Amino acid sequence: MATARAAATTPTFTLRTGLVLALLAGVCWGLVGVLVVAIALMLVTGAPVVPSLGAGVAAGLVAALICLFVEGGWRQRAMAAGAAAATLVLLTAGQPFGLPADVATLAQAVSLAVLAACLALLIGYVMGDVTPGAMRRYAFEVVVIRLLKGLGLLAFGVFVFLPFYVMVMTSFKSQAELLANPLDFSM
Amino acid sequence: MPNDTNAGPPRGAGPMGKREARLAYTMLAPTFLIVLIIVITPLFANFWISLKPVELGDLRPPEASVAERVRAEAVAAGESFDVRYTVRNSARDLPLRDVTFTDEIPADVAIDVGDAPCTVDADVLRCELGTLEGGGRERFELMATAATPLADAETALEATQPVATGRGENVLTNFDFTFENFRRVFDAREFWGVLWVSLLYTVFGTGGALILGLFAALLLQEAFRGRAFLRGLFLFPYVAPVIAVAYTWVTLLDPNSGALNAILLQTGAVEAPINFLGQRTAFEVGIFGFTISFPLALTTVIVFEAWRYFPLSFLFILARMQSINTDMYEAAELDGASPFQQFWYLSLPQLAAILAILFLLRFIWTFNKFDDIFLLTGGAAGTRTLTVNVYEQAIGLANIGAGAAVAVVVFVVLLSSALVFFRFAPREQG
Repeated sequence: MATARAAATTPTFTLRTGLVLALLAGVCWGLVGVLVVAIALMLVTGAPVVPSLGAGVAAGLVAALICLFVEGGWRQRAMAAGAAAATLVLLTAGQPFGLPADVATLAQAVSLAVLAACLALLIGYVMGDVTPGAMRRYAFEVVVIRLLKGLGLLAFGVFVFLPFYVMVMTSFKSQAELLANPLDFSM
Repeated sequence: MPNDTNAGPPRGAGPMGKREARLAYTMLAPTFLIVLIIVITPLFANFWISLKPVELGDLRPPEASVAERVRAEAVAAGESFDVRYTVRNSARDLPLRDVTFTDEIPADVAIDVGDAPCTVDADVLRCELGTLEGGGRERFELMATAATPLADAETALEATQPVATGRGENVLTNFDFTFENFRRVFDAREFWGVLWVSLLYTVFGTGGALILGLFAALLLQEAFRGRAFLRGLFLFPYVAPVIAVAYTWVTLLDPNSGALNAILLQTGAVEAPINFLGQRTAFEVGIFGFTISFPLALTTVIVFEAWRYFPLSFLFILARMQSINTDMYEAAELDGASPFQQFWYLSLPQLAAILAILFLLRFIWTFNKFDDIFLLTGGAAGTRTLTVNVYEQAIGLANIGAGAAVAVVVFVVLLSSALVFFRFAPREQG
């Protein structure tokens, strides 16, 4: 209690700031987002996708900083999404998923849009109306819990749903079809 | 205080109360007895078998069998032919005593028993062999003479089945005991390794399932859209048949055709496929002259165990969480407790009792778990636990006694860990 009040009022150095939260949210969601969307694209199209994790982290950070410094609302989310998509494309020289533009063009475009939108919405939701400066402990932990809940739900969802989906999928396929292409998740 | 028997409430039960209590115990006794028998009998049988030199082959009780063989067809009157009887002891090791066999002989055939221990009385051949050793066989060749011409001697004599009898003892019911099984179990080089693997598997599998269940309960505690669907989905690992999910994991983790390895290779995370279920260790690290290697296959089966059983802890913990009084959290909010403080100082102490009970239950169940590991790795690649060892000894090596001895070790470990648990476990307050 005492430390929380001190952090909120005195100008001493503290890690309990909105900026730290933005960096945390940006790195986590950028990394996880690009990984999940890239693997989903790989499983749907069967194309040799290579996720660019660095660009994902950068895009997440850009989106998080926009969510931190721009007033909330649709304008903020749209700006964050646009900036995230632009960062992804620019940092990977136009190949955010390691694929040339003429391979699965539509799927790539949709994936990029979904990734950028998800980053903006999720990071915007996590950040809420956090301001860059020092924060009270209570408000700081509320944001951390929002971040952890989102990541946790995604992790648990994949951890439980993927084996379930594979179980259903394998029941519709022959052994030869399963062996032919392990990345083919279509039914 | 004066020694007045009328002062104060009556102490203990009165004569009528005692009589009724006796009646109640008498009427409950059969139930207690039946439950006791159901619980004790298999346990006793396990201890009994663990002290016996019994192998899979010995389970066939010693029995006498006899086969008749006649090699003759058309036989003229007065002509002789051979009749051959073979008596066998079906058990491999155990002797058979007072072995006799009888066979009906057609009226128009005379049997010359020679010096065989046989008699013929009223068309019935009776031979007494005495004792037949385990796996032993004895052959009798008798001379038969036809009184009238026979069209088919073989059919005529073999039409009646010979009957053999003998007294043998069952290896399971005799009083032949040995410590050989235990000596063999404890002397085996891999025993301590197997015990260690069992403990690692149990502790980490149980802990993993509990922690995952706690996280899942925290995630799904507060209402949001789609929560009911997620709660249902989260139960899938627990309710799905083990053979189906084990096969799914084997499919996913296969080094050649598995999706996980394909994804890892594709994204450049690894250079060569990883055999998650078949590789004993991965990346060895040397510290202070010791080599520490990461047990890969064991970790995979532990992760499977945590994945498969977290829904149980999830359900228990969620139910307990929903029943925690919200007044406490309101008071904590007023006092300025942060969310993590509320979790650490309010929720966790409230959950301690259910976590302890879950730990005990899951510890026992995981230590006894056989099917999961057997389906995933078959006990190979450093994942052989004590229960897999029971199977390996009893069925794989056909040594029932040694398997039972390992099962006794499992029982002792579980009993002692349960005792330790009851001594130190946190209890529900109030």
